[in-house]
Amino acid sequence: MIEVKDLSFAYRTGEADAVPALRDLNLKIEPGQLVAIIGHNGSGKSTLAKLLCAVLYPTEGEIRIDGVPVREENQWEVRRRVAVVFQDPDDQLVMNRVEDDVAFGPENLGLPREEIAERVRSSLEALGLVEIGGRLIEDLSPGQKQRVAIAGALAMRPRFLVLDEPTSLLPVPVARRLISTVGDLNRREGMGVLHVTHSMSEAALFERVVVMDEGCLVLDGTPAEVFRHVERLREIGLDVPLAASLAHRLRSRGTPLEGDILDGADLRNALAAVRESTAS
Amino acid sequence: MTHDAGEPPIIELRDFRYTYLEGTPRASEAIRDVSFGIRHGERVGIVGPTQSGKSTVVDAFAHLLRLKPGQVFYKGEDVAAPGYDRSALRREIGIVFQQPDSQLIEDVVGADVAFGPTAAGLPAGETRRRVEESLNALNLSYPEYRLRYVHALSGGQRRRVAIAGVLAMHTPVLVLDEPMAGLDPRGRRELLELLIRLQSDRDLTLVVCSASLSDASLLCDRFVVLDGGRTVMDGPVREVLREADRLAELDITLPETVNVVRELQELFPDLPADILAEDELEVELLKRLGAA
Repeated sequence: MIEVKDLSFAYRTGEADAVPALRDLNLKIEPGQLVAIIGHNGSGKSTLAKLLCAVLYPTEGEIRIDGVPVREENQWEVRRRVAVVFQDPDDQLVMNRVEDDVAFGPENLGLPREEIAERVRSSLEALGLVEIGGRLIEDLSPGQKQRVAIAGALAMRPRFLVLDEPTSLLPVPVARRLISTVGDLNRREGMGVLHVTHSMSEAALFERVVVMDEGCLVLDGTPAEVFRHVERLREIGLDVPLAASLAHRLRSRGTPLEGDILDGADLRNALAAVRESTAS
Repeated sequence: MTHDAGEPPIIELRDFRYTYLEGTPRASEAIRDVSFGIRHGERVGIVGPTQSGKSTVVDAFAHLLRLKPGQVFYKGEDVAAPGYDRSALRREIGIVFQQPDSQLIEDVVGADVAFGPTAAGLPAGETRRRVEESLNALNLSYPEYRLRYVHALSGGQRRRVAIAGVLAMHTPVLVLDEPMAGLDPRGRRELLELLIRLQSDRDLTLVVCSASLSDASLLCDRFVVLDGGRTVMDGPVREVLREADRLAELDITLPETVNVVRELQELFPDLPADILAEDELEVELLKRLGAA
């Protein structure tokens, strides 16, 4: 379990222009949960991601990962439990060949050779990369590189996978396939996922959505609960999926749409019900 | 904006073909056969999935490729002809690449925007005037931003600095490669409005490359669709969007409105397939609900 308690963080602490990036944040994430974190640029979501994997440390308050406090002296204990994938895979791919890069993390854990080989094999398989395991990373497409970065994180067998905007530079269909692979990993390995994104339609695919603004947590719930707050989300520079927004508009004009509406199919079903009831 | 259809294109590709690393074992054919012309003042989206050849087309405009004669023309002149002044082309076609960091050269915002005009040999006073005008045009107020460090800015701000640097060159053509990638919803909305305004204020010819039609459909009036290095569609935005099934097959991201309309057509088969704005869709739905 991830427990964030009264967490505050400021870059350049002590200096006159220190900016609080996070303020009094409280959050609990259960093992195996699929969570999307949304917020505009500068809302603090990437700072939170970096704190969860011990790249940064709390200024005030604390974070515990399965009971282990995120502090400098525990950094390896934390990183064994939480693996992170950043926006630009070129920032974290270190080796020349795909297999070598995926093996890099487990090798640094000092695991036996057979164990490393097994982890590399299963991680490549999970991301659909077996066929290109021997390829040079520089020859891969951006979507493939991002898969290699996730395979590398997975090879650490973490309890939680933190994805910091891994899809924002990918074409949407490529991003969608990546998200569905992450969903499979979550179901099969029981690994918790925290996915930071700008895409509202992507967030709608997760079981829980956490919304951040100005370093604070402002909304937290299922996608249906969160995307009901159409005006609030627009105020803080975000959006809602188009179908949710349309449902909101039609309801405010008196169309009695029932149920949670997050995508086109939900809207179609709700509209069909309205049409039937008016016809009868 | 209407332009005389008889006017010759400002940019033209004729039977354009391009192979990277030609003659080596790693040769890869990026463009097989692409022909289209772009007229002055047009807003053209060059769209296609990854590996479709979009970026190669941008590189051809940017003159980053060793082109063969007879394929790429600017104002009717062959840019690969012997004796053509290719450095002059840089003052005609401004390019904003996908990663702003790849074209930000100086550490400080003002100096970065001044880089192009200074290199082009403009006098200091004129350069200063252009830096101020370009930063202000991108909502980066000159007094507030000119001394800021480029690295301390957000991704959206860095992209706007890159655009300001290109704008300061006063090129009549502006080419943007995936301008919305990595921006949050507000950043996208702001950049979209800004580009629409700049295009009409300055009568720019705008070329936008993207794998997504969402923002491009609000920015462009025409789409050229590439797949596997070939042109597969070319026409007005709404006409191209009516071929939604074909576009989806090509792994091109459709605008959210088009996707929702496709779902709703099962219920309302007469719902127009080329709706671009949410307001428009709301009106169409209310009409049909009223009738029921």
